[in-house]
Amino acid sequence: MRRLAIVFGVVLVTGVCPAPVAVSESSPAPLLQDQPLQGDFNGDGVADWAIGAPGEDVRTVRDAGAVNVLYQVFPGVASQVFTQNSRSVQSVAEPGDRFGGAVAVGNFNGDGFGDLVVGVPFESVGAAERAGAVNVLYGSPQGVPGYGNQYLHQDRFGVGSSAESDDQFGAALATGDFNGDGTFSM
Amino acid sequence: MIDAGLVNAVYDDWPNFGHDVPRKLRFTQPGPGGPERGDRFGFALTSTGGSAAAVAVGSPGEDINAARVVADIGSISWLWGSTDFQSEGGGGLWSPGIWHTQNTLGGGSSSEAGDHFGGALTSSGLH
Repeated sequence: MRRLAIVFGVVLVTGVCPAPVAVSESSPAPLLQDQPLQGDFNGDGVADWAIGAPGEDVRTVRDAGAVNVLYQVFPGVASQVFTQNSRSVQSVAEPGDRFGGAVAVGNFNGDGFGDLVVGVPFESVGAAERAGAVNVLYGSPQGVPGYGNQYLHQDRFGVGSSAESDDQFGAALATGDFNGDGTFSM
Repeated sequence: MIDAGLVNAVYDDWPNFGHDVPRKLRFTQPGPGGPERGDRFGFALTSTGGSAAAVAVGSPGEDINAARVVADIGSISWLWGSTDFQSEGGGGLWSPGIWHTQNTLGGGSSSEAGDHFGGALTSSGLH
């Protein structure tokens, strides 16, 4: 069972667009020191990178956002691109969602493959515009389009708040083993 | 050059390096086109962590798309870490001159105005 303890930062601003935020994973907790590293999406032992392009237009949908995942930088490049219209990503690309406004890595399900969290700070939730959401893409031998990808927002069970306009949930992300159970939380 | 961006490396033993060859402490964008106004090199950073860690640097304001100027397509560059203090550049971070835009990645997306590629970054870390 996945245990996702959520610590979220709600960014409230008036009239100022928050800048996308760079996030790096925290140091491994003691429980994790004997385990493979937290974030290798495809388990090949080579460092992977996720790069947000929050202003990416998805076909004609302006600023819906995209994330590039690189499995190898040199020599050559192995990469994939994900948007909210990708089959393995829940929700739908809408104008101004800014999917990829924040990205972070963890291993939430303890399977040894790194998992990718993508912030969608301007996602609308119901009638709440720019309430924000988070997509979780689980790693696998094929990389992050693994099975059981998740979509979280403040109206989902387990997230201790409700979605309101301009909450911008997901504008900043960090991961770590906050509860010491050996798997990562965000 | 306004907002071209700069990355500073600060080592915990600085300025007493304990090594003969001083390490490079300031980095500007290697490409595409080098540092230009508004690139915002260093707007986002991530590191693999660990020994001789590598760092990725986002330049979401990058405008150079091959030979053309397209506003804010964005680019990323890498700095490699080294423990080889006998090398030409000394130990620590150095710039291998590796960079990418969405066009050079060839991953199914291309560089368009306002994409802000590199506005957010994360790394899996090293084994």
